[in-house]
Amino acid sequence: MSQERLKKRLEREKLARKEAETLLERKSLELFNRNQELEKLKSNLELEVTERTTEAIAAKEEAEMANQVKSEFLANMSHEIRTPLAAIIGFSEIVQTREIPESQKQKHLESIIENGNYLTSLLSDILDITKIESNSLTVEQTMCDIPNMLKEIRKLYMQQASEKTLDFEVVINGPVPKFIRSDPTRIRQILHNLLSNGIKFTDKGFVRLKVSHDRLKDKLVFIIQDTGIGIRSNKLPLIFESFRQADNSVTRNFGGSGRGLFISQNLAHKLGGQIKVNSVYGLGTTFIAEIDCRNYKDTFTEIPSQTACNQKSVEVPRLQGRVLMAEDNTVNQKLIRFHIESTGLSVDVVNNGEEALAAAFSNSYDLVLMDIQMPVMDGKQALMGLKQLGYSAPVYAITANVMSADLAEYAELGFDGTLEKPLVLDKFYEVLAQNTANSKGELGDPIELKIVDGLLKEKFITGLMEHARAIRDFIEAIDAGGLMKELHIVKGAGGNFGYQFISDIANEALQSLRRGETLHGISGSLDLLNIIQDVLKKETNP
Amino acid sequence: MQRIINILLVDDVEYTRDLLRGAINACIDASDLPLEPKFLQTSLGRRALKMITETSIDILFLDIELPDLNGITILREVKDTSPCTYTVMVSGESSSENVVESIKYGANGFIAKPFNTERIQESLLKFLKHGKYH
Repeated sequence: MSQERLKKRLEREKLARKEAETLLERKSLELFNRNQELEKLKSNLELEVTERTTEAIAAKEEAEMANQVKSEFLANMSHEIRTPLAAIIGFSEIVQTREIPESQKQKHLESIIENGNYLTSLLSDILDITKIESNSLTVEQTMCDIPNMLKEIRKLYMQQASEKTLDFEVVINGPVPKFIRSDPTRIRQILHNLLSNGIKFTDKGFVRLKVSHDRLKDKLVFIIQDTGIGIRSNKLPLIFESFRQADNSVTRNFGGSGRGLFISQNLAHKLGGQIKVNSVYGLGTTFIAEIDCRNYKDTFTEIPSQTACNQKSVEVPRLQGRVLMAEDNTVNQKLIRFHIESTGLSVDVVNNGEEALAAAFSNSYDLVLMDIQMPVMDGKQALMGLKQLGYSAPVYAITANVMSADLAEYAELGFDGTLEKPLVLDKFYEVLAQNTANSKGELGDPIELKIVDGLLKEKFITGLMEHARAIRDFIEAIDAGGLMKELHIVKGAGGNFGYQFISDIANEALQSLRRGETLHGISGSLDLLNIIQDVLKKETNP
Repeated sequence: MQRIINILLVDDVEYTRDLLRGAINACIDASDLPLEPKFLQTSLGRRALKMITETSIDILFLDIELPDLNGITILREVKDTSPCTYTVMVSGESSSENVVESIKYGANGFIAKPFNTERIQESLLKFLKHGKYH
């Protein structure tokens, strides 16, 4: 029996041992696997660290590169700003200080204007680039008249090309959309950029603008072709990159910091298209600019011909009236004053919005021109003040901020219009002419306030006698305060009864007293008394 | 349809008030404005404030330089107690300070002395345009 039990026990033990072995085997396998995983994780981690480090280095390099590009851009920019500034200052000094023949003077003045215009366009490019980089570039959607736009462009570049004895032509390929919904200013900007590049980089041969309609993609296609120096194939991918021109030597030879293509490409994207380029070095370059033209209206096959009277220079109109201008910059004050006065209009100039308010209500103006950015009180606040007080003469903003959002804001506030700084002369004269010719139209002529009412006039005369007596008393008592009070009242009334000179003399004496010039004030008051005596004599013994 | 409106003239010089009245009448006649003005007047600021609480005033022509109270002080009180009263400031001094204060405290118009009818006409037209001043 015990043998039996022993055998059973042995078997049990065997079984238990086998189970234990299986368990051990399983556990050790698990351990092995775990170990493997850990190993893998470890090596992965190392790999990841290496990867991240590489990425960080790349990012750093990229940032440094971008920084360097920006620094180069700034350096380039500063050079580009300095050069025209130097020209403007230099030529101005020559014209100012030296005796030079009229023809030469004219040339210098042209250079000054040209360089000034260049600075203006440079500034708007920089603004565009800032907008592109901050992702806030917007385009408008308005009706664009394509044939008219092309007509303008043809006129402008025909002349520029002929100055370099190049041929220039605009070719319309088949029926092309006539009116499209897009941003006309931005389309012009793209075309101006590509065409002026074409002319700049071409010394002989031609520059051509071909316009066609891609019906499949619904795009308006502008092809700008030149026979210029071309671009090396390895530089082609770089040309749309910001601030980099294909070759630094190009920058040196032809000026420009490569802003235009970068801006144009971004604009084309915003207008639902793109710009592509083909070039053979030494033979010429072709740019293809496409923009979206869905929902176009009508088509055309040729550009309307040039009319004879197109080439008119700006004519200065002859005008009559009085303008108020608020502007804090003295150079602009002089410049705008010059242009206003050359029409025959008279102009009062004030330095800020507060002064504008005071002037607007003390005089009668046909037109108010208001700078926007001014110290003390800016143009927008001043306008709101004028509107609150029911001021009815037209008020125009005159400002360098003429983005479409700005224009909308000015209109919303109640400005009657906006004039661009620097002044576009024909537009400026047009606004002056419109507002001085029809200034009284809406309200009708001002009603002459004739004091025919005998009783009223009698009261005025009696009042004048009393004031004269009071003035004399205050002079005797040397009471400047009392004297000023009386002068103030007399000043306020004289003009309304046909005695403007009484008002004027009273005002002069009043101002002297206010400045603390008591002696002057009193002698002015004595003059006033004499004049009042004369008037009283005349009025009481007609 | 003629609308009867109460106009209060506040100025310490009698003939200035007369002149204002004459000018307002002239403007209404010349442009055929549908207004029939009833004039009230005073030379004192405190009296003006009292009159405004007693009578509903549609348009107030308010001199800034008054012997007892400053016109701007009166303007502030009027805009507080009777905001619908259309208030036109009248002043011998169109200094920027006067104009800026007038705007700040809610004046509806500003006329500098010696005045011409243009400003008065502007004020009346603007008063008519303002639907809320009934």
